[in-house]
Parts: sequence; C-alpha cells; structure tokens
Amino acid sequence: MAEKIKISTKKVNVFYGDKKALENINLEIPEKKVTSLIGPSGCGKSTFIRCLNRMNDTIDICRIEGKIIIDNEDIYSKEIDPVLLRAKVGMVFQKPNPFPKSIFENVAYGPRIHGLAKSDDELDELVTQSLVKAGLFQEIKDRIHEPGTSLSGGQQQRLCIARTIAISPQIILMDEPCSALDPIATAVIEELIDELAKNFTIVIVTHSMQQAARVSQQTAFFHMGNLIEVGLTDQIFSTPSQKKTQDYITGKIG
Amino acid sequence: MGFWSFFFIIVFLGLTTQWYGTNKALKLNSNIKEGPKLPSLPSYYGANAFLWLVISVLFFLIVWVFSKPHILDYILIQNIPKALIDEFGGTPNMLIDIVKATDISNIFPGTNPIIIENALYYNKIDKLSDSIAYSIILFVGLTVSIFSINRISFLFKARQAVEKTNINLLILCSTIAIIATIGIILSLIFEALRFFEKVNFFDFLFGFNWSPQTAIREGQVASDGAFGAIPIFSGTLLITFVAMFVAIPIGLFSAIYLAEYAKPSVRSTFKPILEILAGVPTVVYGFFAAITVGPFLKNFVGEFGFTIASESAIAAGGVMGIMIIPFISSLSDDVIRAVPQNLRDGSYAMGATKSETVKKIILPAALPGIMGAVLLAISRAIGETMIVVMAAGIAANLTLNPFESVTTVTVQIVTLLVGDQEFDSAKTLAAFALGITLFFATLFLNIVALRIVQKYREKYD
Repeated sequence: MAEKIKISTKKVNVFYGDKKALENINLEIPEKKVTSLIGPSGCGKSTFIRCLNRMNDTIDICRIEGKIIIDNEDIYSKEIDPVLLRAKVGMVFQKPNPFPKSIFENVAYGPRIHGLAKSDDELDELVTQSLVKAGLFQEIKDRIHEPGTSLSGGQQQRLCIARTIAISPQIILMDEPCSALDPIATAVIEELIDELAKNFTIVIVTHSMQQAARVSQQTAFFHMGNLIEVGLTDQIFSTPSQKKTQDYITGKIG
Repeated sequence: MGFWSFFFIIVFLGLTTQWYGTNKALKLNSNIKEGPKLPSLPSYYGANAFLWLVISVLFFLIVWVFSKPHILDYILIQNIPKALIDEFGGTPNMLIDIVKATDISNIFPGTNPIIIENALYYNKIDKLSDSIAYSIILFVGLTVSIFSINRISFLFKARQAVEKTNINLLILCSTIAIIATIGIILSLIFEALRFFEKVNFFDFLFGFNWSPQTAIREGQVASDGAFGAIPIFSGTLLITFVAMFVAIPIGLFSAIYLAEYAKPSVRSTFKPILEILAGVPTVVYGFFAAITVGPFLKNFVGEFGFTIASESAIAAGGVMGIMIIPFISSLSDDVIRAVPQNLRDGSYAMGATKSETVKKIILPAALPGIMGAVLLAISRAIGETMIVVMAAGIAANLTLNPFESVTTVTVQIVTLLVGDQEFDSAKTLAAFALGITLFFATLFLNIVALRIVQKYREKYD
C-alpha cells in the first residue's frame, strides 16, 4: 500500500497474568483510512485496540511486549505520557457511555481539560462543530443542556463520537461501536465513519463482516490471539489467502 | 405449664402440622392416576398449615401478654381487705405495686402480714394464670392446625395463600417499625408540651442562658433555673462542625485513595484497619480526648500564645472526627466503586488524568451516596455524648471559639436526668424539649441535604 503508515506494531505480545492474549502481532495501519479488525469472540481484537491508546494500562495484570509505533514514536517508551497519548488517540466504546452530565458538558469535557478553548464563545463553537461533525447537532440543538443519558442508544453513541472528536485526535479507535444499536442507528454511524475517515485514522473492531466490508478499506483477521491475515478489505472478502480467513468469512468458524 | 414446656409443645405441634399437611397433600396427589393434581406443590400445603398455626399462637400470646397485668391486678384487688386499702389512702394502685414488688423468697422482717399473704397469693395466681392461658392457646393452636389440614383439597390454592401470608407478615413488620417511631415522637412531643407549660417556648428556643439545675428540695443550694437553649445548640453545632472538619476530608480522601488508586492488596489491608476505628468504644475515645489530646493541644497551642481551656470543643470535636472517619470512608468507598467502570474508561480515553476523572466524573456521580455517608456521620456527631462529657465539659458557654469549653444537647440531656429527679419539674421535662428540638433539627438537616442531592446529582443509569 502506498499510503503513509500511521500506526505500526512490531512483535507485540500481550499477557493477562500468565495467559497470553496476543502473540507476535505485526500490523501496519494507514493514515486517514478505516481499518477494521474482525475475528471470533475472544480472539484478542479488543485487547489489541486497547493497546493502541494504552487503555490496558488501567488493568493491573495486563503486560505488553514489543513495540507500537505511532508517528515514529514508540508509545510504550518511558518518555510517552499515556494521558497525552490518549488525547491524540481517541476511543469510542462498545456500550455508549455518555457522562452523567448535559449533552453540552459531555462534549465540552475534553476541551476543558486540555484547555482547547480560550473563551466561552470559543467553547460553544467547538462543541457545536463537534456535534455537527458527529451528525447529532440537528437532532438535539434545542436540548443541548439536557442530560446526555436521556438520548437514545444511537444518539448516545454519536454523542460519544462527538466528545472524542472535540479534542481533535488524529486516530479514533472504535471498539464494536454498533453492537448495542439497532440497524438504523448502525447505518447512521457507518455513514458517519465514512465521513470521519477524511480527517481521522480510524481503527474499528467489529463482529459484523458486512460492516467491515461496508466501512473499511483495510481488514485484519484475528484468531486465537494471532493475526492471521491482513489486506485490502475487498481482497480479504473475495480472495483470502489463508484457509482460516476463508472459513471465518464463510461462517465455518466463529 | 411453664413457658418453656409450652414453647416446645408448640414447636412440636408446628413441625407435626407441617409434616402432616405435606403428607396429606402427597397422598391426595398419589391417588390421582390421570388428570389434574393439586393446584400447588405438596410442601405448600404443609407450609400454609404451619404458618396459620404459628400466626394464631403468636396472636393469642401477644393478647395474653398485654391483658395479663390488668386481669391479675383486678383479681388481686378483690383479695385485698378494704381496710388495708383505706390505710394506703383509698387507692389500691400503690398497694398493688408494693405487693408485686415483695420478694417472697426474701421477706424483710416486720412486713405487714397481709401484704405477705397477698404477695404469696399473687405469686400463685401469676403461675396459675399463665398455665391456664398456655393451655387455652395450645387448644386454639391445635384447632387451627386441624382446621387448616382439613382445608387441604383440590380447590385450595396453597401456594397463593402462602404468598399472601408472607406479604402480610412483611407489611406487619414494617408497620411495627413505623409505629415505634411515631410512638417515640409522640411521647417526646407530649412531655415537651408539659415543659412548655412551665417555660415559655420562645424563651427556650431563643434564650441565651442555660442553667437548669433547679432546687428540688427545701434548702437545696441551686440556681433559679434558666432554660435558654441557644448556648447548647451552638455548642452542638460547634463540636459537630469541628468533627466534620476533621472527618470529611480525611474520610473522603482515604475513600478515594482506596477505591481509585490503591492496589487490591493494599485495599484489603487498609479498609479493615480503618473500620477498626468504628469499633473502638466511644468512652475510650473520650478519655483519649480528655487525657491525651486535651493536654497536648493546651501545650501546643500555648506555644503560639493562644490560651485554650483544658476541656475544649476542639479536643472533643477533633477526636470525634477521628471516630467518624470510618463511617465516611467506608460508605464513600462503596459508592465510589459502584460508579460504572465504563464512565472511568470514557474519561481516560479522553486523555483525562486520574485526578481529573475523580473530580469531574466520579465524585459527581457518587455524590448522593457520599452525601448519605456525611449525613450519617453528622447524626453520629450530634448524638455523641461520651466524648463531649469527658473532653468538652458540661458548662453551657455561648461561644464560637473552639478553644473554649462548650456543651452539647445530648450531654445536657444526660446531666438533666442523672441525680435527684422530680418527674414533673421543669428540669426533667427540659430533656424532652431538648430531645424533640434535636429531632426536628436533624430532620430538617436531612431534608435539606436530600434536596441538595436531588438538585445536583448526576444519574448514571
């Protein structure tokens, strides 16, 4: 692939206590493209995505070997502050988790802690822009000061996306963002992902192969803690080179 | 029949009834080869019969306990000669009390022989009446259990009946709790009203002078009595404030540390140690405050040129604060841990630090629980008596200076009710007035705090 590589992992092993969750993962993720990670439950794809913004640091028993390089820097080196890293690598979770605050405060949360807005007007503008980009603004513009938890599931998930893009990350990680949503809300989010890929590098974990096929340009297939195959999405779904990949996408395993 | 033999017979009867009921239902079912069986499982038929037996026995037992004194008094009066009643001023109540209080195994020489005779008589009818009552109740129980076993048929839905009985029992228990509360409040109110017949309500509530030790005998040296409650309420507030000043930050911060930062191994050692603080008897805290903290503060503050009384609000309040720490830390720790992990993850994923997450996400979400913990701690502080008696004194000074000696409402209630008493003197009744005022003050505080929580809480699900 000719694109610029945003993230590359070199010989990454991850352990939970004594249990090896990921083994020797070497993966390159192109900039401003959507990369989807597919594979059966427990194959390590969520573990992998949580390594990319060091969310696994919050789990005591989790241990990581190898290198994960973002923009020529090893994010696990001592000089990297995980807090700053996470401002650059945002994350959207499986279950929508808006803070128990108003819609406005949810989006303003990140800019406030990072001091991204110099005045209240600027903050208003930033919040509005983020909600617009997340495709939520039109629906909720009259009730921006109502609790974020009062929104529907799909709206909550878009609120979480708005919250993430408000701090202008370069990479957005999405951990099965549609698994708790109905098909219509899913379609809206998928459209949004297409739109976001113009400005952000997106890594999405998904259980739905159709979703991977619809939204991503690159697909990586994980199985039992190993990266089996990675390639252009079209190629993976039409002519996979590995037997396991073929079995998975045709429904024989998983 | 003594109580214990009665008790064991009832237990035996209950178990037999249950066993017999279940067996009868089983037998009925086994006779059916085809078609519908009993509408409920056999064990429910046994349980239903058992419940009815227990409930009816308990009911009649309670009726007996409450009616027994009246019946016995009545019988006793019939037995006492009229002449002796006249000797005791025409009313038999006092005489009855004397007769009942006479210990027949240890009679003082010189006791009136008629009283001894009646005491023996009372002892006899006491035992006899119990035996009769127990026999009647046993008979009733037996009838009920035969009746409820007879009821077992294909039309009777025992499962629903047991469910209904259970609900009613639960309702009964919660009603008892409510009635007890109402009873306590009512008795406080009525006694307080008697106090306010003697002392003006506003003089009590807004008076600046508290000196209640009035003379109750001729020639006793005492004050004239002044019942202005402001100094003791201000003392209570001052000590509570000092205690909270110590307990809230230490308790809350240790809760945050335990819940958010500490490793599981550290947490499992620290938390029990903190909770030991709650198990220390308050009297130990009291002499710790009086003997160790008080003199230490006196020297320490003296270094800086301040004067401090040996009994001071700050010594009592400070030690009380230490005592209350585990209430706040343990409860807050639980509510902080109850905040869902995905909120923390969301915040960390935004590039927030741990302390930012705690401050902006976790504490607001846990606020109602933390407020509850603080309220509980405040009630503990207001109600605490022993530490104050020992370390802050009993002098009702009107001051906001924590270095001076003050007193609290509960301490005053204690000092009013120890020593020589006269039940209808203003001094004694003042305890009830203080009690009810304290009750309303705490109630008001609770309502305000609940309102605040409702307004600012951030609901997370």
